[in-house]
Amino acid sequence: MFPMFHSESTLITKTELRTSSRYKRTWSKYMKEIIKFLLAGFLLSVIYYIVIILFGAPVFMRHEETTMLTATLITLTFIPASFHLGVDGAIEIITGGQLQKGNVLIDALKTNIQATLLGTWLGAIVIPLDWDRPWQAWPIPCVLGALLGYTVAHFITLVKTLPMLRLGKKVHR
Amino acid sequence: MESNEMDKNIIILSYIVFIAPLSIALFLYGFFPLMHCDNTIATQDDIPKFIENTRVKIDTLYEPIAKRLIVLIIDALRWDFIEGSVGKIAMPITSSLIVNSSAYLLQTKVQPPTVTMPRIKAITTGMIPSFIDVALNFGSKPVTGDSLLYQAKKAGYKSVFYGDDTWITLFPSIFDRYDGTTSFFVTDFTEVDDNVTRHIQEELYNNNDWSIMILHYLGLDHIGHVHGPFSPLIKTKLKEMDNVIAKIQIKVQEWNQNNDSTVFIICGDHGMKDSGGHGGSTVSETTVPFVIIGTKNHQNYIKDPIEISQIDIASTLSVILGVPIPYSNIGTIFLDALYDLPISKKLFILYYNSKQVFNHFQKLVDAYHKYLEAIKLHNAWLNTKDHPDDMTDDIVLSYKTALKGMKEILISSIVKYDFQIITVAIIFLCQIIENGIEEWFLSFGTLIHAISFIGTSFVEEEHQTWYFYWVTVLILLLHNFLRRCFAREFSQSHYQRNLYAQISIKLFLLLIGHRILRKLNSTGDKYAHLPDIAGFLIKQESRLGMTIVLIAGLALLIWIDFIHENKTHKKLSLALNFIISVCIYLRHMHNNRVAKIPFYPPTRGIFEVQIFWFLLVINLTKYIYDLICIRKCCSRFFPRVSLYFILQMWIMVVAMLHQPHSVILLPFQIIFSSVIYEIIKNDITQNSWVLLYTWIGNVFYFYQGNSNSLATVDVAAGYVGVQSYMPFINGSLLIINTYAAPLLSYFLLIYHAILQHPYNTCETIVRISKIYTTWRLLPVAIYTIIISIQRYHLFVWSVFSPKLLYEAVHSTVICSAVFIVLILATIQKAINNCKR
Repeated sequence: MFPMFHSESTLITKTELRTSSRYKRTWSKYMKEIIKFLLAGFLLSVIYYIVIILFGAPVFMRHEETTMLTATLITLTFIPASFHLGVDGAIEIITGGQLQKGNVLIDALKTNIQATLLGTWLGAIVIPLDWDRPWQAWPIPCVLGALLGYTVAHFITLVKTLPMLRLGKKVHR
Repeated sequence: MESNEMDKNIIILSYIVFIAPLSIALFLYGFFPLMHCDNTIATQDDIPKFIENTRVKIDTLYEPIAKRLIVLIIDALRWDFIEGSVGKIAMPITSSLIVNSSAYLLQTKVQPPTVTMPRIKAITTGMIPSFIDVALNFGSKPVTGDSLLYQAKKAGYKSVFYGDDTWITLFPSIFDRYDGTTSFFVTDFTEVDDNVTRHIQEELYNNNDWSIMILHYLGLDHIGHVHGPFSPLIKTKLKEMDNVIAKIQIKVQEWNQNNDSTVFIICGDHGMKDSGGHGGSTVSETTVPFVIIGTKNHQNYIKDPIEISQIDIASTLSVILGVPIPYSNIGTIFLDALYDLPISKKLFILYYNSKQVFNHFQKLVDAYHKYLEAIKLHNAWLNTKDHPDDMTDDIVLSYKTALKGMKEILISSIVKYDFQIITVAIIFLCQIIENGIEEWFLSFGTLIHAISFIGTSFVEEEHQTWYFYWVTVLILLLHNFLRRCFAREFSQSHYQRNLYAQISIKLFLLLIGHRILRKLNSTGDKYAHLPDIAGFLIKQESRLGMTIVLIAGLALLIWIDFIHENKTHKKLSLALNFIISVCIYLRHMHNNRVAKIPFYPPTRGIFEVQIFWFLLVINLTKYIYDLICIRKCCSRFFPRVSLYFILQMWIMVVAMLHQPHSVILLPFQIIFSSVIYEIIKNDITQNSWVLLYTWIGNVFYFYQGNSNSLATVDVAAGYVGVQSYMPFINGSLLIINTYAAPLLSYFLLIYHAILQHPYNTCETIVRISKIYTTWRLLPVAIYTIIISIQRYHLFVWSVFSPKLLYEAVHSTVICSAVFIVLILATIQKAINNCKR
């Protein structure tokens, strides 16, 4: 997603360094990572699900819809972050831990996650309105809000990084 | 120096506390002007003798159609009680009458507010009572203007009345015989109606010298208030009503066969919400059936019923009785839907009706060409020799469009806003509010909430806003503490980490508690029909559940009081609280809401409440004794003891008034506030502190089932332990019950503030009260501006105005509470000064 910044991420360079070691160890390491990823993803979905219910989603009905929203949120927050930073890094970011500051990739992912969640939160506003539109049905406004938030976050990152890109070019020259 | 600052604060606060209610009252006065009642009475001369310049014979054109009229009003009879599946099963006789066309069913549209008194006025006078009548619903005054009943009396008709005594207060000298039943014991389902039914036999067979009989049954409404429209009790009641209808109908038929023409009308005064109350403007509240028996046979509608307006009834009945139409009437006659009238008569009635409505209309607009055109055509038709048929349809149509147009304009222009007063009130309100804003989410959220009232949905669904905010605050706090708990900082001690974990667990429990409590009473408009816990508990089968919930609530309250009470009289207060709880339990037992205690004699629930008040007096003496003790040793505890006493009294009274399932909200509110207090007491500004407590108050206000529709006011609470109708006491009890949560949150806030600052209590109290009042008045100020801008909105009467009333009462109540606290602070200050 942000190929030009990969070189900056220390975490990823670390993993890349390790890939050069023996094949078998890497394979088991990958397996371990995948299992960890699945497990963390599942746990996080459960947490998301519970939080959504606490916010007022129906408890005994519409499990499918709530699950869809959860899936959307996981896809937009946890999965990209763990692809870029690994599972530990993703969890660190989502819980708001203190990963290194000033790292462009981490900042971008953080913005993504925050904006996605904020978008979902704001999306809920239109649900109680009495317009009786089909798109007001649960959980469409929240999903749309999440996607919008995610998009907006990318624009923010773009605007933030533009000056940096120009600087990089100059240095190359 | 500090003392000066405080004096200033006290003065500012007392200024706010006095000016705010005054300016709100001023605004209300400007917004809901009391209508200038035109007391003109229509006379025989008002029945026109000429159409333009052609003379007509009114003796034949306007003679009475029926000699007798029976009006049976069933309070809160909503449309589906006759026409829905419920009605078909529960009212078999009425349904069969409608099916075989001996009864004729029309659909009546009712104007909000859907409360009995304004509805009776609309039915009898044919005009729309002003909105503020809903506030005067309890203390009704006699109708001074013209009405159908007055006209009938003048024409020499004898009227009798049995039922809701609102009629008797409205029309004190009209009825020849009457017996009123009070609507003040909402929990009485049978006696109110038996008191009406027992007169019917007598009036129908032995004593039938009357021409108009009005019956008003209240039982259905009472069941609706307590159990809702889907209760099995509703069906039993409808069956009872069906039998009454059958009984009268047989006699009506006999009279009609003997050429003693009689018209029998069955109608509801207003509908009922799915949640049981009424007063708002939903379809189920504003649509009621109107059944008429004794008119000439008509085919009932097949697809859509004919729709009439409730104000049309007065004029139609006037024509049926052959009396002048009441002067104030703006309704249109729907007689042609009921009778096959000769064409000349039909036209004459239309002309009379149009002329009479036009009289009112003239005051607004000079002329209405449709009306003039209709008269011209009518006149031309009269002057032709053979009275051609092809013209009449045209004339009827012109009259009807003219009438409809005039009626609509009249209804919409019935209110004139006094804009100068409104502006002055807004300026005063805005001037009171000036405050710094600190913590962004809380302040911002409160502001957004106030601004959101621009949309009617956000007014109707205000509870959603608060629930959403509340979860957000809790989740943010939880996230914050979880992060601290799992942070990889080694500087943190084990103890601190434990503390954070504990707080996180508490916050999570609060979240779960919130999720459950918001399901206790579903409220608002869009989702009010969803099943809720209260609805489940109210059912007779789950009486055990209700008992457990009530006892749990009371036990928690006793326990909380036991923990916080002064060591010296823990036992005394435990005993007192226990007896009070028993009183509360017994009061609900009399209503059959909770499990019965064996061998306890049946009561009316009055005696228990009287004992309760007596116990409160004992509590008061205990407090005075405390004060005397304190005076000797340590007077700086005075505010704390006083506030504890106020809290105690408030909780006791509210626990007595609340519905049995809502009592549990009180201990939960205290627990919620205490948890929040523990978490935030050290690292948060005073402003945010106040806002958090306000939010808790609001959240609990809606848990209780309140909303911004007048239908959700729990009227039953106004009559707890009251034997007769005393407007002041009933009103106070209602207000206490409705605003229990916001006031409790204010008192808790002050109490916790005193605990937090034991040494400079006065300053803290005054400062916090000031912030609290400001944040309360801010939404009011913004709302007054919004409603002034939106005054021509379609929903101004159904959504915006009830909210305005709610806000006004809420602010006034808070101002009085602040005033009490202010007195405490002043006394404490005086004591301090004396000491120095």
